[in-house]
Amino acid sequence: MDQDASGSGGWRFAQCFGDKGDVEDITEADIISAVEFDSTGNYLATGDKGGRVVLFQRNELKKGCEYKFYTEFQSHEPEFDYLKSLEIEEKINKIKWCKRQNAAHFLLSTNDKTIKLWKVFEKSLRVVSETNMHDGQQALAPPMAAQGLKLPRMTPQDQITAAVPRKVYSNAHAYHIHSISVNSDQETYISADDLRVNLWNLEVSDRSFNIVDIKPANMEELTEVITAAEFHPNHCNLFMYSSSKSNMKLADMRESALCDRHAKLFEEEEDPSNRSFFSEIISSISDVKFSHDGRYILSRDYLSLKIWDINMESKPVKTISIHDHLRGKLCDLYENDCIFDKFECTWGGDDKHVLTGSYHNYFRIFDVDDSGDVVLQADKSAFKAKKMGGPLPGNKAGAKNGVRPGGLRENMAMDTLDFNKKILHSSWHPREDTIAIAATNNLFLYSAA
Amino acid sequence: MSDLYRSALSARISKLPMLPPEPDEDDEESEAADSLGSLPPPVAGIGPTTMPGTRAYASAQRKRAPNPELTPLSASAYFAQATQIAVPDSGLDVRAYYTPPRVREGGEPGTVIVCHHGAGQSALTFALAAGEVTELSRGECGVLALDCRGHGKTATTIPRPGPEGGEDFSIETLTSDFVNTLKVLYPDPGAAPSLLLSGHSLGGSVIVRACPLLQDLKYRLAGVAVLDIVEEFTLEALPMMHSLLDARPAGFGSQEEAIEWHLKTNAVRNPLSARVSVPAIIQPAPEGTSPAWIWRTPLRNTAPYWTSWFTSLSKLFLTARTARLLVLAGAERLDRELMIGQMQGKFQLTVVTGVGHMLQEDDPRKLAEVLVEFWRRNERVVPAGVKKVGER
Repeated sequence: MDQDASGSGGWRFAQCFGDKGDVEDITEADIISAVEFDSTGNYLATGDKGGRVVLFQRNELKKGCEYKFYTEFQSHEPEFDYLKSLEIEEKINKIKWCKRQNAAHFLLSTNDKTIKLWKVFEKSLRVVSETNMHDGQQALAPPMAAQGLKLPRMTPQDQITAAVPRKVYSNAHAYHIHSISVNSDQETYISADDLRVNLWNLEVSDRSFNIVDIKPANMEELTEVITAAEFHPNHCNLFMYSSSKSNMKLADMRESALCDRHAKLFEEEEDPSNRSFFSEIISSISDVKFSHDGRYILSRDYLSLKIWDINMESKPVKTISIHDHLRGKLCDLYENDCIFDKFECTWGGDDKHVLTGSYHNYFRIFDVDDSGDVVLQADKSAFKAKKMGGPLPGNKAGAKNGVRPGGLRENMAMDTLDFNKKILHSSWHPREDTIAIAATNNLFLYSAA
Repeated sequence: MSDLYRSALSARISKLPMLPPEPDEDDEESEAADSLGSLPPPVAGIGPTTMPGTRAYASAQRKRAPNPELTPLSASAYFAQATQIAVPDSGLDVRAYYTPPRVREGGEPGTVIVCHHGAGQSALTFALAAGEVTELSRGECGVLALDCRGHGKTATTIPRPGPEGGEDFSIETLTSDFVNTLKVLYPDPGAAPSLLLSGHSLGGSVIVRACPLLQDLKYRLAGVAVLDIVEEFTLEALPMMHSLLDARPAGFGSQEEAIEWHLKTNAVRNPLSARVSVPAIIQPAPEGTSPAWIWRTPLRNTAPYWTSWFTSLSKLFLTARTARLLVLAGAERLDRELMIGQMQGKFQLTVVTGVGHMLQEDDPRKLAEVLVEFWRRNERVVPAGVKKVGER
């Protein structure tokens, strides 16, 4: 990606799925809460607040990046916990694909309490075409003798895409599940809630092992919760979990059955001069991801992204500020609860870029090695510009929307940010520079390929 | 972030210490606190107000404009008359507030509720209650409230030094004062109205001792009502009286200030009643001294007599040969003797809630209702020859 005059890093808006309507009348159930490409990048899964999973398939016939709707199914239903008198939301918190082993697709989707393994496959519907009474076109006389009897013939009529829950992993978590991660051995996976991490075997749905437990003996002394967990992409014994106390722990399952003692602790010493009432809240890590080669770790806290070398625990290799102009507004963000937003972060397929979201539908892509950074906005303006054939907003040349020259970077620091429009979930195609961005109830696809 | 994290965080935030309130003083006030005024009397103890050096003390020293809503009120609205009675046998000039009972047909003299106040108080503590009694009984029940020795407007004509030094505040003296006053008021026991003795705190102790004495003198007693005093607990609390007294300011700049202090410290919860009763327990200080108003009764001097006041109160109450009523404020806390007595049905127990120790002031209506009901229940038209309760 060379420096280009458009300032958008070569990224072009490709597609938008969703009703593209105004923000005011969004159905709550349509809000996208999870986005994930599969390991080939040919399929894209999204989960929403209504418990539905929608799958998109790459359109191979077209040259460029284009996805079409593949199938949809209702993954989770709202439930009621009678013991605690609490509603269990059907919102899909995470979707993770298993690696493809045969013609069917397997993916894990989870809500607050239950994880389900779905098998999505093409099913050909066969209908009975010839019977003893009917040969497909006209009625037949019923056979008189035993030799006249023949088996009914079936012919394939239709191909439908079916989704079947193969396994339901339930009743293992007392708190809300926020992360799942499939192991590189494709046999096990972990699920993490606020205080515990459980290890499952994909084949066994009635039993799981607890490998991390940070619940204090007295709940009144609770100070720390687990915020994200992920398996290492290559080593099947290593996994990582991040906490609200701005540290990440790398644990080795070979060491002991209960991985409370970490193998590595990644924590940056805080600058005491920067401490404020909100320091603890904004330093809480909202998402953590291994790079594809497993050598680096990407962590996202409220205001910045940090890239860590897995061998160096003391400080990150690179710290990137996302929206530092919010530092002065922490009080207001605390009042409207936005300070607790959990932004996700993603590695590019070649580990050379990182992506994360911000407010007012802005999202940013940063270069890992040098200082390039791109600001884009997942907004109606993106596809309006495309329709008219013009450049993306933020370009110096395209001042159609009254955008100030200098691009979106300056716009991001505007005072009138809409904090209801936030990019929390995104996913990067594993093999090319295509990204899927969830903007409330719309799914945006950008491509730089 | 998860709800769990948020709730843990808000729990921790709520435990953070409160920021100290912004001091919004003006410079003058702080300067007044710094200057050396006249040496104040030693104010030690755990009192909340007026420690030397605090701003509150400085403001107590400074003259403040009296609060117009708390001007003293006259008791003339509640009593029919106020007189000074010369009681030579006790060497006292007793101040009495009196509402005579309405004389009924047939010349029946009716009943008078005779009220004795507690230590450091005055007869006007019963003012509002007296007004309520008159209203509730439609004047049938009279009320008499006396200032006892060294309190209110009662003057000592013949000083009587006590055995412990200072004036004689022993319970025997107080009781004989009470009896002598009644003898002067009603010289003829036969023609006198029946008496319902009601005593608050120390007054309760006086009346239960006066009861047999009056009955020996052939006075008719309608009953004896003790207000908010239980022997055992009072005796236990006596050591704390000293620190309580230390917490009181030495005096006040004005009567309004005194009323305000009583209301603020919840000594009296009824502002109207405080405006009537508090002026009677303070008196103007000698000319030129500060503060301008001081306590009428230096309670500390009565300290030697405190124990004798309340000893054997329960026993004497239970053996009084008349109808008995105990009114408690707030909670039903009885000592062992009273509890046994109550189980044996020896007295009527009424608990008034939502009031402090000065229950006759905090809820005068309720007390009046209780007393009038007690009177009506125990007053009977007795055919001649049938003995009333406790009569010999």
